[in-house]
Amino acid sequence: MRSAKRGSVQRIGVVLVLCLLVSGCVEGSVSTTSGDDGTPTVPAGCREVPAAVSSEKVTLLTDLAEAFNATDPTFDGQCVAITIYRVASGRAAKLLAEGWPTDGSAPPPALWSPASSAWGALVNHRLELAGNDPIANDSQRIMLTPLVLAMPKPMAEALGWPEADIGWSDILALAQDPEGWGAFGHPEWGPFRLGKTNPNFSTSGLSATIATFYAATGKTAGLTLDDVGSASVGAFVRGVESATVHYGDTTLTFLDNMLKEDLAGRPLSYASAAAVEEVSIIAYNRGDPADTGAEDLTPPTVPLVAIYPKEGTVFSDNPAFVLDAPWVDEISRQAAEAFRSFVVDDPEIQARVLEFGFRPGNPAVAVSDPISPANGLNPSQPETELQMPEPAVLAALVDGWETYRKTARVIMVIDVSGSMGDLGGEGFSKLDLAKQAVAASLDQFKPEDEVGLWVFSTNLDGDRDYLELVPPAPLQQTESQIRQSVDGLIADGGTGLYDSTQAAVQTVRDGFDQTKINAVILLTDGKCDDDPPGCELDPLLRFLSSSERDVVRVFPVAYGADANIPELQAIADATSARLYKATDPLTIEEVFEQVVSNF
Amino acid sequence: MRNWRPALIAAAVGGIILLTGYLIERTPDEGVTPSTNADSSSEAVLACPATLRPACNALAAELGTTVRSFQAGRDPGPGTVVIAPAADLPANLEIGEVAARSPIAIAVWQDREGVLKTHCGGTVHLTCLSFAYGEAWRDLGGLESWGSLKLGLADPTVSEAGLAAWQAVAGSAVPPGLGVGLRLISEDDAGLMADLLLFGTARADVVVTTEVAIAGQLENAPGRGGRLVVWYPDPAPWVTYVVGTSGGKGTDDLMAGILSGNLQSRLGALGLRPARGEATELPEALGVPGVALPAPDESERAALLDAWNGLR
Repeated sequence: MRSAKRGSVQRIGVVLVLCLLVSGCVEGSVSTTSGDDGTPTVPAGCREVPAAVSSEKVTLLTDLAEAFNATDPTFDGQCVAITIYRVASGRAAKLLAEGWPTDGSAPPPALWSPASSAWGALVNHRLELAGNDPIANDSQRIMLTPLVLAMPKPMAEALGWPEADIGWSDILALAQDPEGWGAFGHPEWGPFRLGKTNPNFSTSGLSATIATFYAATGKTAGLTLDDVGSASVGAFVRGVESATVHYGDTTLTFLDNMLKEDLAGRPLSYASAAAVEEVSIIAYNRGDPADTGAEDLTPPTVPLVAIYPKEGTVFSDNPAFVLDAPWVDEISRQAAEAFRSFVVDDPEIQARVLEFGFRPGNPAVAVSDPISPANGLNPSQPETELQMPEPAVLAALVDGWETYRKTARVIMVIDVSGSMGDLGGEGFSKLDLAKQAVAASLDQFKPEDEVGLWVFSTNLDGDRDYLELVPPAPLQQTESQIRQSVDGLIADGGTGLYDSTQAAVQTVRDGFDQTKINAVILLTDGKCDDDPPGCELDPLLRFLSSSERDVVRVFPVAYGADANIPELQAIADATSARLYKATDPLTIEEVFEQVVSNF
Repeated sequence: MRNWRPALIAAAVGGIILLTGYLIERTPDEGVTPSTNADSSSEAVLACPATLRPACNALAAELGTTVRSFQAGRDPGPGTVVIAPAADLPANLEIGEVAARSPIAIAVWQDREGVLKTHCGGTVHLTCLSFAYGEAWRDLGGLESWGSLKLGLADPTVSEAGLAAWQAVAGSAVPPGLGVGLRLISEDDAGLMADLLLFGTARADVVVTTEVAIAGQLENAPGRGGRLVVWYPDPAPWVTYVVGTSGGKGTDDLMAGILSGNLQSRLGALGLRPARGEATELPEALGVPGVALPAPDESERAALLDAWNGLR
């Protein structure tokens, strides 16, 4: 449990804690991005020079690597080819600090481009603590994007946008106003709702958390441990967090849900604002939150605009490090430097980053369209950048967030149908792997979170397909009971999915608590096979979406190859939540961790 | 204070572009003939730090050679002539004459400059700024949304340019608000100016650095947050750039070409001051620099670095 209770015990060192807490130590996976089979292609006789890059620039850098490789680059007579691998910033930081495996799906990189320079400092700090030389020393910025508050335009205008200076203090006031948007003449918009990702998983979430702590102090630099621990700062942060819809590992969840609600005719119902990078607003307003580049998109009826917090904000500066690592020989180093120069130094190539919605990393290239008022953005903003806190302060800040974040009230509903007894991998059944994942995920909750455990198959309790093993209560009371119950689960019976889902949601709804994130986690490996009419989806969806105010979010986990993804997606959409997929059962622990990041 | 001259960059930008392009495109038979044999000098190459790269590109075109990057302290290899501060040259290089100079100057975003000029009594000078770092802009007469006055410097422990700027800012005393106001620190003056443009006023309102580094980004500034205005402290530290080489074919001729009267007279157009005498053809945004302060001796250098480390 990442609580104060266990945090101090688990802390091995400031930076190790950071890596455990901050982001992608558990985020995403190493994957390749080009080639027919997903593996980058290297011409025969050429040396592969791998580059590990964070997801937002994979498409851009893959294109540019192809263009660079087409010039037949040669160093000391050796032909080279740059290959691009998608590796989440935090995960790459962990691998670089602890030793990059040579048998992973991405080879040790010569070039590393995380979302923020902070990751490079983190790696170096960890290496130095371990008595090793720093490796992330030589960098150039590829592109930049600031963290902003993305807000539907009418709501922003109600706050005085674009003339007024708006910031986190205004968000706090709005979040704590019992009238909600009524205080601004729009009671129909309900309470203020904030989309903000989990700083343990997301760079945006970390940046937003840093910004709220700074806003609470009135400082723009030099945040201290005393600041982080101060009661008034805690009250401010807790107040902002109280408006959070839910958390999560990626801002895409919020943007996807906002767009779905908009296209369904409810543009202002899901979230009043989301803390995202500026680049995300451009993609959203195009109708393409995931920035797939697809055509034939439907833009939202209500666009988002950027609020650059008046207290200051944080940039994602996308550095490209040529690593001073033992596995980077002279030829690889030269090739990596040449590729970086190719990307950064040529103004024509740098102009391409604008196409992706980023601010160019070459100062000779002007910030221009699409970073423009037409997209709700202001290229002259932000006026103040917040200084990145020292690592120890950063660690304390994330610890503090764990204390101040909005509390959750969750029922985990686990499928124990017969098929869960099938082999999942490495000699374990799917249920065995799920049990491990559920048990591990309990460490992500805080003691005050209310967590319950249900199971379902068919006829577990008379005609009922579900069984309440542990009713939702503060985890400090239920944890051992949940662990014991999980340990004893066995697989048998069918998949009474819909009535179990409805009953769990009804239970959470009956005890709905406005001060908490009210949710159900639904893990299933199959599709509903209950007796008729138990498997009619539409009535369930109507039930799930029947409450606009007291929304219980349902986060389904499609587990294994046979899960019915379309129906689970519909369940997630009905409550503006998110579907998670663990098609390979061996990934369930990682996926479940992402699910629980919503709390 | 004297010899300062505020200069809006607008008109200057064109000057640099045109003159640089002019120098690059001119051929020797148009009259710009270095005092060297072009064939032999072409066998040696020029190496320059990032700050001087634009100027070196133009010089190399004149001299019929190419340019490579030079990093402080690293041996550029045989057959290379380096133009850099003497302290940045590796020990194995033979240090030649001064090739160019650059005074320390102040670059301010134009909207901030207007406020500072009023606040400081009509001029922007370091004495006035020393009491303004970290202060709220609203208290200086600016907008509340600008936050506090933020300064940018190159790291004096890494580069000579950084040390010279630090001497200008803190030579007599470390300004009281610098602990809060110093918000942009880059490894060298080229990096400082790049960061200033990339992050705009979010990271720094004012930088103190070499005139040549400022000149290299003047034309880019309007596309990255606004125009920059240049002011000069008086007296001011100057950075001198020497030629250095470890020898090799053509290096003597290349050095002679760099020091030739013809090329020296054209440095002004590239944002540099000649080794001796006044610069001509300077971009309009650049003005009359302050009288040169003597370079700090060893004890003064140590004191400056101690002050810096104390601040950090």
